[in-house]
Amino acid sequence: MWFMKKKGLWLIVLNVNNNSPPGKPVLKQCHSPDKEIFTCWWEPNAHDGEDTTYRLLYEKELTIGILECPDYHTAGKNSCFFDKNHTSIWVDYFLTVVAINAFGNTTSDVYKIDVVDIVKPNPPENVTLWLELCEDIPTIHVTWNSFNIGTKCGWITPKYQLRFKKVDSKWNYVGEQTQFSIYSASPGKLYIVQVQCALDNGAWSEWSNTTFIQVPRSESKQHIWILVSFSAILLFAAVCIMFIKKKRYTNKCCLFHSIQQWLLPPVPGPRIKGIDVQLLKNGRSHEATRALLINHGFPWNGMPWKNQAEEYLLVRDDNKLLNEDQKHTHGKMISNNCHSKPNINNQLNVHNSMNFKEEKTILDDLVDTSQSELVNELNYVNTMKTDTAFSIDTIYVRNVKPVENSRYVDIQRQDVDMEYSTVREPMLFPEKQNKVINRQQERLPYDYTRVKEVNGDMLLLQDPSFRNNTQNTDYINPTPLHPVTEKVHECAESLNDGYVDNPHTHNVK
Amino acid sequence: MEGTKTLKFFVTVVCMVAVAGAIPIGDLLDLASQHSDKLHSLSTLLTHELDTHFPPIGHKIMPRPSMCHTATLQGPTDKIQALQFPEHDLLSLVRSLLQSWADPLLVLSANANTLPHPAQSTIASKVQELRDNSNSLGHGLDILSGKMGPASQILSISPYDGNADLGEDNISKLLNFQFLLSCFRRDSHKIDSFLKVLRCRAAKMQPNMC
Repeated sequence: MWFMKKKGLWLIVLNVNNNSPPGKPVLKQCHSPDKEIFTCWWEPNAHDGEDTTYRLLYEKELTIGILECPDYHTAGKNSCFFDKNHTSIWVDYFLTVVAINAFGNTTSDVYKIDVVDIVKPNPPENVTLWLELCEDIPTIHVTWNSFNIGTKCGWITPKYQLRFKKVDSKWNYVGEQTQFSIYSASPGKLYIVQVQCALDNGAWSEWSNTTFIQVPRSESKQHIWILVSFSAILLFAAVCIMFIKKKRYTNKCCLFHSIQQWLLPPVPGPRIKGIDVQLLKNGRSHEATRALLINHGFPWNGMPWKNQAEEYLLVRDDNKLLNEDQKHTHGKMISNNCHSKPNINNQLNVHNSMNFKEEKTILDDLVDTSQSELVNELNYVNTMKTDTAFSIDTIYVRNVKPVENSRYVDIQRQDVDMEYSTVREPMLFPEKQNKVINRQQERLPYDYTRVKEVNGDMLLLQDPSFRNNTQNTDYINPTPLHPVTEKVHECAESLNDGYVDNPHTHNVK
Repeated sequence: MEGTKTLKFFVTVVCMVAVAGAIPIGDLLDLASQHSDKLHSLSTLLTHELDTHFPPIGHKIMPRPSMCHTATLQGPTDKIQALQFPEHDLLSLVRSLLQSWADPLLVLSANANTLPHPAQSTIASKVQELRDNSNSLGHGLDILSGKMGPASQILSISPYDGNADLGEDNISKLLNFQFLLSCFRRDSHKIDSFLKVLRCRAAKMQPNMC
């Protein structure tokens, strides 16, 4: 140890080499790029002097004797390169590095490797990107130097992984191909691509150097944008002119209404032929239904259907029960046996999944509660729904006409967590029907439903999800309704002898 | 698991068709290579799984009872040797290696169920996959050797003479488990490499297969 003073700084130089052996070196890592050669590197101790030399000695499994590194220079300083002749795989190498100076030597810890475990290839070279423009759709093709497998002949199995991204976005990873194409690249963007490879399920190499490609802007797209914006401006100008013109002559309020009417025509309310709402309101439901029966010849002597919980509810979106200028509405049903395509004219979104109680509440809300008789009959109708299968307003024997311009609207109610339609104009059936139902039920087989009369106009809409039930009064298994469809004639052939088959059995007698 | 079953089914189908001599050896080798690749990657995954909660033996010497029990099965140890090895001998070696691991895999499987390791269940299921894959590969190789002639059907099985119980205390159990697994990993890599060399040789007409 000696002291040196230079420009006010004290320098203390430790001259370790004078006295002691070198420090312990450390073997850092070994790599094999191709399973045929490998290289190992070590790190000398920080305090070693310049005159320290290093030797790498090793032993091989299944080999007797200690061997020395064949090549200290090819891979640089503090390294050892094993060429093909000195590389064996599936055998363990036990490596040690010895640091030697004039005062002694120091041996590192034993470092054990198997060449197959240290395989880490170099990144692929010569990553090339080229752009292909096909009808203004740019495609980027990526190629790179792959391992020359022909010469390797099965000795290594390379696999590649690629990642690409547009500038300022995230990497997209694509695995295990030998070439790659990016289709429909975004015009005007700069793309970055990198490739890496791995051998034999081993470690992945480093990513290759980034390669860039700039996709040119698409000219035709620019033209389109100009066209679109120009026409938008024209449209806007036209609307403004129209608005201003109208404004001169009409009231603002009326204009708004007229636009509203043009865009959103009012929903016509439902109306049943033969039912006078006033009669219903007055509580004379029997007269109302009788009128209907007389007018349309309803087959209410027999039990129309069994096991159909089809509910067909008409809905209005305002608070009036009936409007004078409402059009006729008809419920239509089509047998499921017909493989005809339904022409869905009016969409009905009704769920019968509310239970009996809730329905009663709804009815109470909508119908004047003073009409207790009416309510009772409504309730009765609902109970009969499950097994009798006549839906309110739904069974038409004759004169079924397609409804024009009638719509059915759902009324959402907050207290019931489902879609349903509110009963506005229930069709009520005389009580005597119930007895008939009972009698008929005993005779009818389980799966069959009966209609009194069938003619070509009669259509049945059956819910395929309907399940049989035997109860008369319980409200079981509510099922969603089919959308209302237009009549289709060819269905008539499937109906015979007053029997309509249940969709589940598909038996038509 | 599904992949193994699919491969198994495929192998069965191949077996039936191969009996009629309909499937060329090249395709059989391709199928076998896929199996062996899967086997090797499974064993690699298993090693990583084991190392997550256990300090890897890595490059340190650890006192181990003996070398791998299949060390006596001599074979090529570099590329040149492998490319020059005769086909029948190569296939025979592969089959011998695989067959030599039938019993030790059972030992691994039994010990995996009670392994004192945090990832024990994952390890146990992977070992089971390993066994299934190994069985499928064995069947495929039997068919292959049948097609390649009697020379490839010579088996020299190296018996496993270790204890069924891998150790008395937890540490030695884990160490021995890890050592056995490393031996298997090496042998699975041998099997994979040899089959791929064979596949490439059989596909000389189609260099792109190599």
